[in-house]
Amino acid sequence: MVEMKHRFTLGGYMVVSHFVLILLLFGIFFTRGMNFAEFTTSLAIIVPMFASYTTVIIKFMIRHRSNLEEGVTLRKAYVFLSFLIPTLFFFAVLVMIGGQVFSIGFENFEEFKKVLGVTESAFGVYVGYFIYAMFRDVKE
Amino acid sequence: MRKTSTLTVLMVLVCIAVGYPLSQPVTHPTQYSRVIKDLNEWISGTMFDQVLTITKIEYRKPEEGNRKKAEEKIARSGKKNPPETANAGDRIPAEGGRKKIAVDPEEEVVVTGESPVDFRGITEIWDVPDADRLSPIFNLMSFGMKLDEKHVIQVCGKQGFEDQYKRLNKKYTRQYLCPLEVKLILKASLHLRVHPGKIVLEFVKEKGDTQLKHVRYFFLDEEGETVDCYPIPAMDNTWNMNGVETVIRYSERFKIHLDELFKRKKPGEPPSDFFPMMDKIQECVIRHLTEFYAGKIKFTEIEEEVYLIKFIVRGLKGKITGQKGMHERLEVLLVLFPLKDRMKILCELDGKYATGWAAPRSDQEYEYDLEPKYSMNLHIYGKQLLLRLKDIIKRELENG
Repeated sequence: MVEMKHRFTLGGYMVVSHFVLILLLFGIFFTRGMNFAEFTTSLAIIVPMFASYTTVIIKFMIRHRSNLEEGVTLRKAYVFLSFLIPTLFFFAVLVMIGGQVFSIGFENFEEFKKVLGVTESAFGVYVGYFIYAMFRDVKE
Repeated sequence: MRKTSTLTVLMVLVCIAVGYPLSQPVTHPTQYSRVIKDLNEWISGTMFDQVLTITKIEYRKPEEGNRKKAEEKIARSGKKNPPETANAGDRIPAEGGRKKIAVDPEEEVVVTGESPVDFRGITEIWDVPDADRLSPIFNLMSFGMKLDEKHVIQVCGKQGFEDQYKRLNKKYTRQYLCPLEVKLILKASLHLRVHPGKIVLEFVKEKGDTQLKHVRYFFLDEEGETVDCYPIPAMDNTWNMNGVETVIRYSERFKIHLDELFKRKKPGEPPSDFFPMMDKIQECVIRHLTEFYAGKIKFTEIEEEVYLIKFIVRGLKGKITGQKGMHERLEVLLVLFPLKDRMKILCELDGKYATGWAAPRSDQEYEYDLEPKYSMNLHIYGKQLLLRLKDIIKRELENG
């Protein structure tokens, strides 16, 4: 896969997964899976953790909206890893939301909040490393 | 001239010397020490237990003139007597957002608001001692309190005494037929009024304090038996901003100890003479409840000696909150009071709820208290439950 195509694909994937999670939370709230306080707290944790990446990605996409340069060809291992970590992050958050809503694993909402925070920190390093490495030229 | 002025000065001095003490409130220091001691024990042993401090005790012998003036003032302010047809335990909304509690028509109705007695006098600070027993408040009569005197004790609670209170309450629920209960009074006054033939103890919540959840009060008949016992659930946070709840009413036999009145029946003692069918009724209640809750009920405590049934209901969905997605867990305490010709059922409901698409598996997952948000709903539900039980018991008795 060439570099620019990879960047756009991964960027799009991250943005979509971010909004899927937000929509999921809204869905859960409207179907009474969470009360208002839980819903807003979950949003307040999840939205910023993804927003920090998606903002960079969206800026990059806007800047390169008409740039058709292809760049170098990337190794498969790199491409795989660059998709793997954001995917794991997305599913980790998804599983935690599911656990909270279906009362699996968490005794109460406080526990859910804490685990979500820890997960964010754990994955944040790896995801951040990839994202900022790939989309850093926005800052330049 | 000189003699006249000397005499005038002397007369003024005599007037001051005689008039000043007379103008002071009549106090009985020796009597107070005993009253306070007993109240301390009673308060600390029942509901407040070390976490409250009596901050002030006021006393003044009522003067006829003052009382009349105050009564006239109340009459002018437009307070009306409750209707004579009011049933025991009915709540009558009073003017100005206040609420009154009507009791039996023959009994005195405690009216909220201004007191006809003028309070001034002693202000003292007392720390509640460490006591762990239910002390007889009725002994106060033997301490020489005069009829129609009113004593005001202000009590201030500290945050976090609820758990301690719950523990105590559980203990007393087990130990006595009728637990005396005041929940979450963080700041309140306790008024003790001695009338001919009765003592009325009132809890008055102070303005601005919204923590009072509910007060349970009960009455005793002349034999010292409980004749009425009502929990008063909070309607909302403001339902009794100036409210007065009658806690104890007692008649002639003042020297009987509270411990004796609520003495637990010994195991093996036959059921109440007044109500020989009590065992059957208890069975009926249990059976009915099991059916009513479709098998999700778990009995945690059944004490036949005191007709106490405690159980937990899980898996209710939106029955209390009215929201379908909410999972509710109720702790229900039923105490049956056998009387001569009728039976009273005391019902205490405490509940929590949880959110989520699936039902919670453990008790910890029910993390939100139904009170105060759903206090009213809980109250209505409790009432429905009691009405239902009443019908069932009636039917059961009719069928023999």
